[in-house]
Amino acid sequence: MAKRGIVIIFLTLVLIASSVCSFIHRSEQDEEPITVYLWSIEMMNEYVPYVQSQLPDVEIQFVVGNNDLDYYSFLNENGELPDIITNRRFSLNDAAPLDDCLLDLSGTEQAGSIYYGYLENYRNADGEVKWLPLCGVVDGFVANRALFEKYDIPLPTDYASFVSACKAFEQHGIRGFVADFAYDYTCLEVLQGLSIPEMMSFEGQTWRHAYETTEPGTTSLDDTVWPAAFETMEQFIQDVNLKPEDTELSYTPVIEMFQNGEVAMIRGGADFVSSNNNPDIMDPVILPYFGQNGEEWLLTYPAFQVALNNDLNNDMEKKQKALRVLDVMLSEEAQNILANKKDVLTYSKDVELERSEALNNLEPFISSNHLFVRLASSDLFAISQDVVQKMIEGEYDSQQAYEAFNEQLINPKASEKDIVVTFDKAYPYEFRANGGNQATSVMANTLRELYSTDVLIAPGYSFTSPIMNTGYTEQMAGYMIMPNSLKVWYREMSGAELRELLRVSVEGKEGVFIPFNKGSLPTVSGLSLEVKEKSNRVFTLSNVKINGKDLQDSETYTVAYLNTESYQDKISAALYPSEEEPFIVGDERVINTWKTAMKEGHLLAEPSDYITLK
Amino acid sequence: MRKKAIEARSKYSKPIRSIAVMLFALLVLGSSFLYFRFVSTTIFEESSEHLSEIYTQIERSIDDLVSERWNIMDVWVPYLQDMNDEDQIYAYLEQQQEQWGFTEFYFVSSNGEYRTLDGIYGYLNLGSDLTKLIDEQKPIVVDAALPGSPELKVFAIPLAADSYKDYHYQAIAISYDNDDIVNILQTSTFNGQSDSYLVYPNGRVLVNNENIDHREISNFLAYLESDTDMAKEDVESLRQSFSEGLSGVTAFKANGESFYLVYCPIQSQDWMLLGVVPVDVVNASMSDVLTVTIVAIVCIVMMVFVALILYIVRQHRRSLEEKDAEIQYQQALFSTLSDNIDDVFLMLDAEDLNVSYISPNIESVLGIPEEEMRTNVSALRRVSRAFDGDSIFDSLSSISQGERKEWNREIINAETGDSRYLYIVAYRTEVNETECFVLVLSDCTRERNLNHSLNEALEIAQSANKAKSNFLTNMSHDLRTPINAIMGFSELLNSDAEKGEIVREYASKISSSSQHLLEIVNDILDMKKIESGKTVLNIADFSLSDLMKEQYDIILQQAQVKNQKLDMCCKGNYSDRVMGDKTRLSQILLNLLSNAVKYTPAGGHIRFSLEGENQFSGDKVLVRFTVADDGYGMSEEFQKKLFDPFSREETQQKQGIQGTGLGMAITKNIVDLMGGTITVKSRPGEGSTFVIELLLLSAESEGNEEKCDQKNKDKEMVENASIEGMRILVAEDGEMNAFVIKALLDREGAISEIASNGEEALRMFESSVPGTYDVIFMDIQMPVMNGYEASRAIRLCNHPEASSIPIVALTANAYEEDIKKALEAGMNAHLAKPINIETMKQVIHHLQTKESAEGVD
Repeated sequence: MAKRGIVIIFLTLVLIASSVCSFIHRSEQDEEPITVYLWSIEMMNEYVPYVQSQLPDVEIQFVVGNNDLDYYSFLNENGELPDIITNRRFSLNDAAPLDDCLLDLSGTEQAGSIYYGYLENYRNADGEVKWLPLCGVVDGFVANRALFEKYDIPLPTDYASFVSACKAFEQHGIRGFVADFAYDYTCLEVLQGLSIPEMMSFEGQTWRHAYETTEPGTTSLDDTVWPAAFETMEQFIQDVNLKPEDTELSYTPVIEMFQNGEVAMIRGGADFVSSNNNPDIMDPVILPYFGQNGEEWLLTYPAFQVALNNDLNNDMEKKQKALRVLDVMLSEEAQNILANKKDVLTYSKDVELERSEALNNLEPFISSNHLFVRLASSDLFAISQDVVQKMIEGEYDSQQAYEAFNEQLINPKASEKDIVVTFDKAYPYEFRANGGNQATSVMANTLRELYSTDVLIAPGYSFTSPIMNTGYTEQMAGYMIMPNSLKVWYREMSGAELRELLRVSVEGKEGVFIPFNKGSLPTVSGLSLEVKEKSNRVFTLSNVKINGKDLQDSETYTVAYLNTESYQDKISAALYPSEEEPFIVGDERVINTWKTAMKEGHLLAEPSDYITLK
Repeated sequence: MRKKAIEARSKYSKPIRSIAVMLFALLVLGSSFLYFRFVSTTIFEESSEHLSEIYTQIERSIDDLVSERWNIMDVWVPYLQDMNDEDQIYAYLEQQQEQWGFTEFYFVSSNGEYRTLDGIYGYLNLGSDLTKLIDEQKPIVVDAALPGSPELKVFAIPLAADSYKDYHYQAIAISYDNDDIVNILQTSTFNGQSDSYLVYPNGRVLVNNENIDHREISNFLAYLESDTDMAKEDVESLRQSFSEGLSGVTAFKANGESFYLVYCPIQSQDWMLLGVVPVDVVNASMSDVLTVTIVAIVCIVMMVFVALILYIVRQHRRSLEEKDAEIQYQQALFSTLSDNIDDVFLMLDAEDLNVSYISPNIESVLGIPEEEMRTNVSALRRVSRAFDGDSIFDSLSSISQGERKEWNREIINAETGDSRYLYIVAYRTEVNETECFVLVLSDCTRERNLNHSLNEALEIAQSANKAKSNFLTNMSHDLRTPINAIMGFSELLNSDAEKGEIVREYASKISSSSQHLLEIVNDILDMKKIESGKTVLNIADFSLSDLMKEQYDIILQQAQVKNQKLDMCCKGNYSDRVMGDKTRLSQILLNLLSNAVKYTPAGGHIRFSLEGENQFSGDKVLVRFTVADDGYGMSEEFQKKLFDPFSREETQQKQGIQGTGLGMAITKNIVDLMGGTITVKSRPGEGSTFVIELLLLSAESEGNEEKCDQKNKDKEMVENASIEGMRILVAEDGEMNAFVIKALLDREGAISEIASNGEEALRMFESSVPGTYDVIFMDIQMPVMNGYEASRAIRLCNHPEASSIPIVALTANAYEEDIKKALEAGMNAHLAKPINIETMKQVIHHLQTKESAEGVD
């Protein structure tokens, strides 16, 4: 009798213990994560896994978002503003619409660790600090020192020598300077970089402060600073002999020209210098923006700015977690990983970043604090692109440019308002152990329909936002797919191959993306995965089912794999080293396919329970 | 009643004591709390004031420092403007740098650009302060630290636009590292244990001295919120105070240590000065006082507590001692009782019958060692099967609370093997909330034996009582019968006095009845005499055949009356004449024969026989007298007490048969006295056979014959003795007796004089002439002077024959001691009443013979 009692008690205890463990396990699995939106997929490489690894007790949903504050405003309008957002393109006035929904960080330890001078750039009219900058990227002219030596042309030390060098190279049939003027940021940076003295004058600083602290369209260009800036630009175009077709130059051809010795100087950053430092071939060296008045400045900008959702104030526990995440994101190690030895400048008092020799010649500018932080409002990017390109093309002289710039500045283009699609059903962007992420599943299933394949695999960084019950403009619909460079890669493969591809996607592979938390697991369509989570967020693919049945190795399936080109190359190299082009790449970027489908009224597919995490 | 009162008092005293202690403790705690609150408040106020004073001084120092640096530069302005020689300016400022110790001098342009004296250009990131400096023309202090450079404070003042070496400037500035400010912050008041900060109103740290082992703090308010016990609301309140430039003191706790936080605005800047000082450091001096006070209070309280505790402990100890003493007394009492009584106490656990208590006397009572019993209660089985199996132990379980069971069991002492009787009582009770059985094993062996003896004695007493009742009843009857005859015949004598023949017949009847009465009295006296060991055998030779014949003749008449057949025979080769007490022998034979007649119905047969056998060469004769009848017989039970005095078997057949119940007892005693045996065989309805065996001295042997001859001669002399003519003084107070004696003596021819008491007898003897009296018969119990006194007086008087005159005691006191006392009183012989003239003659003769023999000599 007593023995039976003991057995019953033991079994009861076992049941209770297993229930509690199960509950705890489920609770851990389905714990509400801290959502961190990344401005770029580049952060996914090492930075994000590092941050997650430092916070084993915090589940972080990293999402590759957009480098556009409008996107976060859109999310905010629909009550989906993430806990932490990051953005590179930034100005206080761009960020102003989000001010009310962002946490004031001025009184935080994290803000306290930013040098006073830099932090002041983020103080709004109310004295609040809503954004904190991470390390500064250095931008300037990059000269091919080997080419200079080859032609015995001295490296420029000021604007005059810069122009002389350009002219000297032209005599050798070599362009003195070109830049990827196809991009708005190049146009903006060259325009501002050449006019840093004006921008840093008392008037320039006063104007900048006024511009950034007022709503777009209310502050026109300063009539002292900016005419000079356009004149400088005009003079520069002439001095370096920029051609109208240069406005179509993108990054790759410019780099190729530079590597091929077809151009002596380009616009570039310290990261390019340190990562392409090969004296035998190129030996790049970074030079400051030479002011035409003799002043020399470096143009810098933060790698990104980070802000926290003000709603965190409603949940102190979550706020503390978010602040811990922010702390790690701003930590020295994280910043070093982010910089990847690409010679960035720190803004934080307690952070020392490694610096390569590539920046040695910039030390005087750094020590004298001749570091200009670009003014990077979205308006200025667009206007700069338009005006600078037209100046290069000869359409505007300096005065016209000034006027056109001013016109666009005080009469900003109305933001796109046309709703191209309205979703009548919302799906949250959150990972569930039983089923996966509904929002990404909807997008994956919809795209598989569009691509008409048996299977679609999208890495964890593929999709951006929840599906909201609201109207989407074309741009916002496009922002659902990230990164911009995401493409579709097709391959007909056997069940065995498919299983291996899925295994690599789930378990990761050295040199390829390795999922670091459940939010980074891939989204699949047309099949379902059974994944086991070991300790320390290590995942194992345990089973694959198609239509409820086990995947057959001998069967053949058409597979659409969504990926960026760089990641896809790694996948191909890892899985199909002997094949030159194992996948057939789709013509359209996924974002475009998606936008088109949405515009054309393609209905969203239903989500499916594509993953079971145990 | 007293116990209840004590219990009640004990019941209520504990809670009352507890409440009193609690109230006292609460009082102490409350007082302590109020005191500490008062002290803490006072200390906080004092400390706040103290800290405020100190940090106000620091704030003024910092203000002075800033003002001083601005003032220094203000002094330079006229020089700079007046000096045209740039080399002079350089030298002047270099000298100033040496004097004031600034790290760098800057010509500052309107956009924050600078040029140093040495021609180094740079940019001071003055932020919004640039507007203040250039636009508002106000002096500023800026934290101009840059990555890779040391902490730097730039003090700048505006001035009229000017130029130095073609560098246009609108302000000048000097920079200092933070050391001098830190030096000010690092007040020595607290021995370097304080921590001071210059912060912006939002808490951002501008400068701090970092004396305390704090981690790097970038924002003090954030630090307070995240790393201290300060509530968020309090932090916000502090933030508000910072924003409004208010001063104050508060406290917080970090890493388990308490700190004062004093804050005050820097008047000249939008800064706040914060001081963080450990409470212990600030309150060090006051803490000493407080500590002493606290120690004193604690000591007093402790002493009170200790005293209270000691009192309670003492009371408790006393109570315990009293209880211990009581327990020890009870234990001693119990042990003494246990040791001295035959009760064994056992306490057994109700569940498993394990021994909880056992009284130490178990070994003496049961023979089982105490230790053995403690380990195994089954050891009881060694002494009795009563403790086996389903007996007492099994019965225990059926006893309910308050119920008791009892057993009487015989046991065998395991050590001695003695049989003992136990009275066992078991009951169930509860001790210390544990159910147990209590067994009391009382050794009642002595009581049982005593009761047994008492019962036996009671039975004997009852039997004796009954016998005596019967005796008295019989005596009454037996005595009354002859008395009745005597009285009746005496009456008849009066009426028929003239009729000589009838008178003689009546006299004969009276004599016979008197003789019977005397026999009865003699029997009783005999019995009394035998029992008291006073019987003396009167040995003389006699003829066995004569004895047989005489008895036969006596009984034959009685047997014939009842028509019984009486046979007599003598068998064997034996000496007929033997030495013995014929009278006693006759007495016992007559007893047996008369009983045979009495207890044999009419027509019955009685056999009276003698078997004789010479033994020891004819010196002795073994004689066996047998009296057998076929009468009623006796039960076996009665046969056992046949020889007890006053024993008579009461059966229907024996009703009406006279008897004292002493006959057989006398017979047995006399036989025993003679060294013989008497046996009886009897069965109810079949009759009884009594056999007496005696070993008698033969009178026919040579030595025995001489003795017999002498005795016979004596007897012959007595038979021939005559008292005729003798003068006899008789002292007798009883008139009747005196008359009878005188009549008998007169009948024998003797001359007698009567004295009514001893004194008279003495007087008569003293007054008589010698030869007046031949002998004196002296009664003993007499008025005036008893016989003993009179005899002594006679022996002591002056009469010539005082010592020689024979004095013979004549008394009813017939016991041996009476005889002895009489001889001691000077008397010469003793005669027991009733008066027998023959005996008197023999005694007189004997005394005369003795006197003459002594006279011959």
